[in-house]
This record gives sequence, C-alpha cells and structure tokens, in this order.
Amino acid sequence: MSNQNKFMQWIDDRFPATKVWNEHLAQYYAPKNFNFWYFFGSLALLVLVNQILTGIWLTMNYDPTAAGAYASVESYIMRDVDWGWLLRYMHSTGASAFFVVVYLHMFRGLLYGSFRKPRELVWLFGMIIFVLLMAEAFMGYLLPWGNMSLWGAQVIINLFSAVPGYGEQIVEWIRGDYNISGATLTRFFALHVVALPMALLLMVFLHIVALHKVGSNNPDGIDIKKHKDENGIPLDGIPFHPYYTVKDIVGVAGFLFIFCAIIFFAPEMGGYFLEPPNFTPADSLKTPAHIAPVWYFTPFYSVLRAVPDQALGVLAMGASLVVLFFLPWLDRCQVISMRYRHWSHKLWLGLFVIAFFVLGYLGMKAPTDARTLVAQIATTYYFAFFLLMPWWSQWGATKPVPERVTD
Amino acid sequence: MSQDSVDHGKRRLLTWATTAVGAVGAGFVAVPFLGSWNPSAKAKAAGAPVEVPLDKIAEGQMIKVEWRGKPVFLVKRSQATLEEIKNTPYELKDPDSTGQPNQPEYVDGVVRSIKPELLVVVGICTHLGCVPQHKKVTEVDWGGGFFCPCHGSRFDLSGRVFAGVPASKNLEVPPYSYLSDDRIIIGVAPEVEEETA
Amino acid sequence: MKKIIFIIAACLSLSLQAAEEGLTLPNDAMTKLNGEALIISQQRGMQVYMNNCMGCHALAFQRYNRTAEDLKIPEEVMLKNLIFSDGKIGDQMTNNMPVAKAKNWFGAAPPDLSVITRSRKPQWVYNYMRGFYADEERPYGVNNSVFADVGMPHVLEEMQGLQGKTDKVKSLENEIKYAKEDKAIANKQLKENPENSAELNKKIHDADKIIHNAEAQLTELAANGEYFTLIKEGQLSPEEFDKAMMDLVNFLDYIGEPIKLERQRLGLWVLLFIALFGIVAYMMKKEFWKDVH
Repeated sequence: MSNQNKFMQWIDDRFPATKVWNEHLAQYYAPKNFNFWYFFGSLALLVLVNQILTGIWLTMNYDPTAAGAYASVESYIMRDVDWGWLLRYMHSTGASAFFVVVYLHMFRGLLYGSFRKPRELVWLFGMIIFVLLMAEAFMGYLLPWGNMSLWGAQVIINLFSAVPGYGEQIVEWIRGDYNISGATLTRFFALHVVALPMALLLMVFLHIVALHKVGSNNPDGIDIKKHKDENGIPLDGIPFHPYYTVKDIVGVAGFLFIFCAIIFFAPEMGGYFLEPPNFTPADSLKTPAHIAPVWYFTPFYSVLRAVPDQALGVLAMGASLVVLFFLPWLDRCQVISMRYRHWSHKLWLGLFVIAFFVLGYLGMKAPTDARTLVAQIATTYYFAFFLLMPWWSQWGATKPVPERVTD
Repeated sequence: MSQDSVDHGKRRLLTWATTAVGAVGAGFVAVPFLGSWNPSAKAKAAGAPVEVPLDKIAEGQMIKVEWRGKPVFLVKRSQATLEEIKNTPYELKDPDSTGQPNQPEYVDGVVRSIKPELLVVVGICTHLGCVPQHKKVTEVDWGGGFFCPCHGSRFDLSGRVFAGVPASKNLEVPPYSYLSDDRIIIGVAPEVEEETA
Repeated sequence: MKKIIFIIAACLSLSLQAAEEGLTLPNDAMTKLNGEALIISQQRGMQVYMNNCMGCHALAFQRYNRTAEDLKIPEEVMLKNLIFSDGKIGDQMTNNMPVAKAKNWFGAAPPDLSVITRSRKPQWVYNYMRGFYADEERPYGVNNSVFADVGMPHVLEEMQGLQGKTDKVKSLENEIKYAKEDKAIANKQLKENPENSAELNKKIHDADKIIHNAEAQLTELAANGEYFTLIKEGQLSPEEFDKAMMDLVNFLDYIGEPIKLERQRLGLWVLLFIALFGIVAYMMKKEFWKDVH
C-alpha cells in the first residue's frame, strides 16, 4: 500500500471521506442527457458561496446603526476601504443573480417534472429555500439604509397589518418601534447575517441529500435505474465526477462572464439592481416618488396589488407562494416531462411563463386602471394554472415515452 | 461508454491547464478579500503625521502625544543625563542598539535622537505592549527612564532596555523630523538632503 | 473590443425610471468627454463647486486627498486653492453648515451631494443647473423648470445672469394647464353620469391631443435653445455657462463613484481572463465527454 493509500485508509477508518466522495460524486450516476437547464443548480451553489463570502467581508466594515449604516456603505465601504466597492457590487449583483438562477432552476423543474414522485421532498426543500431566500433578500435590502430600503421595508412589514384584530400590534412588534428605526435595522441585520444564512445552508444540505437519495431527473423524465448493467450501474447514467464537474465548470465560466460584465460595467443595472432612490439616505418623512420592490419580488407584488382589498391582497400574495408547495400533488399527468406531453400542456406552461413576466413587469410600474386590469388577468391565470392543473394535466394524448434517454 | 480511444495525455494536460488557470483566477479573487484588510483611507487619515511644538517641554520633563493611536514620549534630556547615557554605569542588553535595531537609520544607536537633547520614542513596551511609566532621574535609584508596570521591564532615558528584565528590544524610535528648531513632525522622515548633509 | 463592451453596458443600463417621470425641460444631453479632457473638465468643475456650492452642500463621503489623486491636482494646490476650511488633506469634504438654521432658511437643509449623480442622473443635474428662471411668485424670485418649486435660490445668478421663459413657452404651458383642467372636469363628469360618455370621451381625447401637441412643441423649443430668454446678462455667455455646468456635473459624476473609470478598466481584463478560462474549460469538457458520445 502506498503512503497515500495508507493515509486515506487511516481517514476512512475514522471518517467516511471516500464513501461520501463516491456516493455523491465519483459513483453518483446522473443521467447522461442533461441539457442547458441543468446548469442552474450548481450555479445557485456558486452564488450562495459568493454571497456568504462577500457578506462576511461586508460585515467587517458595515455599521448596523441608523446613524451610521448609510455612510458606512456609501462612504466607508465604497470609498475608504480598499476593494470595498468590489465586495459590495459582488454582493448586490449576487443578490439579483441568485434569483435569476433560482427562477431558471425552478422553471427547469416545471418543464421536466422534476418535482414529481419520488422527488416531492426535493421540491419541498427547494421551496423552503426559495422562501428563506426571499426573507434573506428582503432583510438585506434594508441594510444600506437608503430611502428605498426604508420604504420597501415599510410596505412589506405593513403587509402584516392585514392580520385581523392584531395587525397593528404585530407590525409594531416586528419593527420594535412606531416606525422603521435603528431597532428594526439591528434585528434585520442579525437575521440577515446569522440566522437566515444558517437556515439556508441547512436546507441546501437537505435539498442535496434528498436529491441524491432518489437520483436526478432528466429532460426525458424517465427513470434511468430501470436499465442497469451487470454491475448494477444505470446504462444511461454517467458518474457525476468527472463528467458533470467538468461540464458545470464550463457553465460557471459562462455565468461568471455575464456576472462580471454587470459588476464592472453596469453595477446599477439601469436601476434594477441598485435603485436610484437608494442613493439618498433613509428619511421616514419622505416617500420616494415611485416606489416598487426590487425586480425579483415584483411578480408577487403585482398579485398583491391586483386585489382591491388589503387583507385579501395579502392573502392572495401568500397563496401565490403557498400554491407552489402543492405542485407535486397537483400534476396528474402520467408523463412527467413536457417533452412527451400534449401540446395543450405546453401552452399552459408557456402562458404561465408569460403571465409571470407580465406580473413582474407590472410590479415595477406605477398602477393605472389598464395595468391593474392586466395584472388581474395575469393573476387569475397564475392561480388557474395551478388550481386547474389536476384537470388540464390529464387532458389530451401523451406521446410515447422512450425506454432509454434520448441524445 | 467507450474507454478504448481515450487520450490520457491530452486529458491530463487539459485538466492541468484548467486547474492552473482556475488557480490563478482564485488568486485574483483573493485580492479584494485580502486587500480590504489594509488600513482604510479613514485609518490612514487618522494616522497622518502629527506636528508637535517643542517650546513647552522643560528640561527633564516628558510630554506624551498620540500618533496612529500609539503614545509617543518626548523627553528633554539635560547635558548630565546625556553624559550618563553615553557612558552608562548600568548593564544594558543592547547599549548601541545594533543587536535588534529599533530606530530609523538617521538616528544614532546610543543617544537615539536627531538632536541629542530631545528623545522621541514610542511609549510601548517591547515585551508585550504595555505603556511604560516615565521615571525622572530624581525619582528612582536606577538613573531614570521608563518602567513598565506589567512585567517590570526597565529602559534608560535613551529608551535602551536594562539587562535582567523580560523585554529584549530597545524602545522604538518613530520616524520624525524637524520642521523648525522648536517644531517636529512625527511620521515623516527627514528629507534625503538633510540626511546626507 | 472596448467599444463592444461599452455598447453592451449601455444597453444593460437602459433606465427604467426615465419613462416614469413626467416631462421636464430643458432636457439637453451633455457632451461626452474621455481621458485627459474629462479630467480637465472635472478639475474646472471642482473649482466651480468649491467656490459656489461647497458652502451649503458638503461632499462628506469623499476625501480631499483621494480627489486630488484621481483628478491629478497636486496636494499643495488643493490645500492652498480649493480647501477653504482649515481642513487637512486626508479629511472628508465637509462644510460647517448649521443644519437646523439651514432648514429655517431654505425649508430643507441643503443635502449632501456625494452621490447626487447616482440618485439623479448626471443629465438631470446638468439641466437642473440650467433650469433656474425668474418667477415672482417664489420667495427668492426664481423657480426651476426641472425641479418645480425647489427651495434653492439661484446661486449662480452672477455667472449665468437671469433668464425667463419665452412668451411662446408661457402660452404653450397655459394651453397645457387649461387642457388638463378640462380633462379633469370631463373625467369627473364621466364618473357622475356615464350615459354621456361619447361626448365626454371626445373632450378627454381632444384635451390629450392638445397636451401632446403642446408638449411636443415645448420639447422642440427646448432642443433649439428657445425655451428661455436672458433677462439679465451674467459674467458668462450662455455657451460658457453651459460648459461650466458640464464641468460641474462631470466633477459631481466623479464624486458619485470615484472608482468608475478604474472599475471599467479592470473589468475588461477580468472578462478577458474569464473568456480564457472558459475556452480551456470547454476543451477539457469536450475531451472528457468523448467517453459519453
């Protein structure tokens, strides 16, 4: 036995290093027909690491007090600290990139039925990650203490005032004051940098454990474990390492190119990633002329505004998130991938994507009568897509599903 | 999967190439993270050179000024004290400050100052960083100097450490220079012409 | 290569807010400067700023020495000619404005302008500085066509002189005002008796047309420089004043994000490096995937 082998043996007797390596990488067999849509899981992990590292470094120079927060970002981090500007842009761009990647990752699930049996828990853990991510982003958005931070938080926290009877009390409790103040800032800071990241990491861990228990889905939506060779290895499977590690590295390069192009050439992204009103300090006496949440919240924000009643609007917005959790039990089609489904299913999904974009666009705009009407139509469709899914997903003839993966 | 026609050499080369470029990239990424730990512009502004007028220091007295958050001691020494420093009766670890030099090049190792009568030293014990107390010639039986209350290290009025105490290095002389006869600036070395003259 | 990336960046930064804000005139673009010419313009702009603005509007997020270094102004020159307080070169660019008193004087304390070009666009600031005009109804006798009823007096009156809206502009603005009133009345009536809708809708439509036409004419007047007319001459000619304001805004744009030019310079190398990494990684991927295909 070579020294290296002896060393690994010593480790393996005490810690399952080789076992974990094999089970999750070198002998984790993934379908060989992953396409473009399968990059976004590993990219989400990359962005998570970026957010955690740059986040830790930002806390080194950030001042979580109402008096000091704004200047500590715009003056100290952006100017006085060497490279502080880059760390900040990496973090602010990373927040938006996280949602881009996660939305595409979720769409992949819809497209190929990745949430279907036996992957229900993978989907549920993923949905919890998504909700945690929204909370994380929302609390992080308050920290620069610009005027948009303040009023964005004001609006979102006030959603809880819709709770009948106790609304005002709950809102005061969340804020810890009669308006958004230093008390709110410090508790959001603590949650943003400690509590939520820990919860996120735990859920990401569970998401991956659950996935590796059942194995990855694929664009054909068929089970590769049905056809195995004499060693029990799926015929259509390839070891994740090296094949998908080398492939994901190419995806990482492509992602980083776009990511860095934004960081270095358009960090404000035309006001989508860093909003102009956030370059004035928080002022609790003056609302910005046009107030909208950051782009990744706007589809859900549109749902909220589409309902002409405060409590019902909040309820609708909550429902638009909750309904996603039930997806594995709403889809009744015997074929799980869109590839082999009836054209009407593709139409339902296509229109859903359009409705989602329309809601997102309208959420950034000031409401007018016409826009509200469109938002109401899109909202109705959003819910119809999910609530009618048990019926439309059984409608129409499916195409024959191949035994083995294609391509 | 066909394993027959695998070009292992090419595969190894490309793996190494990607690893190498990736490692260089990781190095680049590390730059902002490491670089941000340098003193910030704020710290640099706060640590800017300090000007000190000398007209208020009487012979044998010490004044303390702050430079970069550290105490700097200025002591006006008498001719007698300087004589004693040059021919010291006490046992010192490094009497001419050559063992472990702790002063700028333009300062001599015995008197340890630009103008002999004015001593300028950083008031931080070279043992573990406490601030020593100034003891006047008349106050103690060891010729006066600096006494560190933490672990009992002693330094003479030239900032040189006594033998038999925990500290090993003489007190640090900071960079400083004379703006005029009665004004110095701490943190700025004398111009090169002056040094050679 | 550089050009392509700038074009991409420009496309990416298509502003979403621009369309939401109403019409403000004038809305002239600034001449774009690069390299040495930009730095010289920024130096001149700093001079204008320190002489006329600094008394009220601090740039507290920025330090003098950083500005001196980036704008290539020797520190001695900066200390002697541009720092009016007893500040040191490493200090932040603050002033001694008493905030409480200032609130009394102007209705609101003059804001710090460190990041003004990021909360407002540079072009907006440029036109704002050129938008002061005589208006007897305002406490300082001036109003601003870009920022209506602003609390700030016309500080640069000595430089610019005093301008007023031309008669043509005034009459067009009246047209818009009356059309808007007509429209509001028609809308109200429409809500009260919807049965009359055909006639009222026509009224609203006509009013919209008038507003649209008048706004188009105003925009054209502003583009031709016929929006204002000089009532009282200043030390500078209108062209010289515009140039001075461009200098001022270029300076403020620098202050808004001092790292901007360096960031873009660095970004080019970063992208080239990632492209190289991508090529090598792709070749590796292709080599390994020969097994699969």
